[in-house]
Amino acid sequence: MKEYFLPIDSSKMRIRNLFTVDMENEEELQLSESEIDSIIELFCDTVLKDNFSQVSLIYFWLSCRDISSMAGHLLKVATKHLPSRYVASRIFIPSVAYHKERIGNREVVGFGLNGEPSYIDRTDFPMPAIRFKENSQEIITLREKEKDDWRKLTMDEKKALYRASFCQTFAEMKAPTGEWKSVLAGTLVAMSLTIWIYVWMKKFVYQPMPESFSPERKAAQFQRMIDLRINPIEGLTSNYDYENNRWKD
Amino acid sequence: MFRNAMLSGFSSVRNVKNLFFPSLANIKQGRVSAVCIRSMSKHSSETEEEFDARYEAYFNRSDIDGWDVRKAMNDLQGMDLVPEPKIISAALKACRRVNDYALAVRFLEAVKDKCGNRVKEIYPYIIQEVRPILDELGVNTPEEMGYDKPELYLESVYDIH
Repeated sequence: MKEYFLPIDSSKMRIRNLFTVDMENEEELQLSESEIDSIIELFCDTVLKDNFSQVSLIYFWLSCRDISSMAGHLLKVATKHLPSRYVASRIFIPSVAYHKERIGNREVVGFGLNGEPSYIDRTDFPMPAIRFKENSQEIITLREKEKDDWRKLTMDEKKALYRASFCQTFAEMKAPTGEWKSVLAGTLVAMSLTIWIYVWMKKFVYQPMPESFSPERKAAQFQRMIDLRINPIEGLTSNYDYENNRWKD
Repeated sequence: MFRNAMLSGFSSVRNVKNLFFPSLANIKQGRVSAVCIRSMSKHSSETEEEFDARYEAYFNRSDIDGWDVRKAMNDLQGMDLVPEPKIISAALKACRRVNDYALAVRFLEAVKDKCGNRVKEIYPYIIQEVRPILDELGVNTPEEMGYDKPELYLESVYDIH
């Protein structure tokens, strides 16, 4: 057991007992005036103190990860005398490790869409959080060349640099997919299928039409409408000349 | 933001136009402040010159790093405007300072995308204004790199079954 869990020596006590550390020790650490001020300010931060007492150590230090904030500054100062690798290995950071494992060797270059180190091609958010390709040897040599004058790069190298950082160009992102053709085709196929189903229904399902629908019977019905003077003012028989028994011109 | 020579400033019409054609509003009416697009909800009364100066000063910081450059570029992309050529020049110089060539080209592509359906008017003007910086730094425009047409094909995730 003792091999796995090394005893905690006093120099690391700061991580565990942040708010109870003595101010006298500050001289040993050679903190500047402003840093001492900021530490004092942080000790007065009751929200931070509540956080420290409530959540577990891991999550407290995780919440201080944002280096630009005052809490992050505290993290930097408090662990100043520890090499940063040592700190990282002692504090197991679950979510960051998961992300770092997924992105592999890719360089994190920005905040990205939501703070996660992910890559996405979007026209409204052109610079993602990570580079697209992992840092291979060729890319590293290209990066060295990039630090020099860009006019010395060949077009192939410039293209390689672009593709190393980005997956698709804007033109490729916005390129039409031709999806409308398959959508239209599917719609028309469905429509023709419907019509075939109707033909089948007419042939096999529906009963024959009544005899009154035959042309002779319909003509007789029409003649009856003329005889009855249907709509004589503006409608049907207003166009019929009764004196001469024919339709008006 | 991007001020055109013709100013059609009917201030009463401005609000309506801003609602329906927000992207045109900034091009046609030079007086609309870039930060508050709708004048009814005024968050800040920054003029366009102040806005330009602010972003130019931001990019011109000598100690800027890639993280901040990208943040500012993404912010500009989210705004309803086409950045002024002087902001673009400052951004390209910032890319040079952080030694990132791909970022410069990507930014030019992004600016072209912001021009919307008036690309043919706005983009050549921008390139013409920015040409000295492009030549000085050795940055090729996306057209010169052949990236104005798609080069590679990528199957959309929605088509993978």
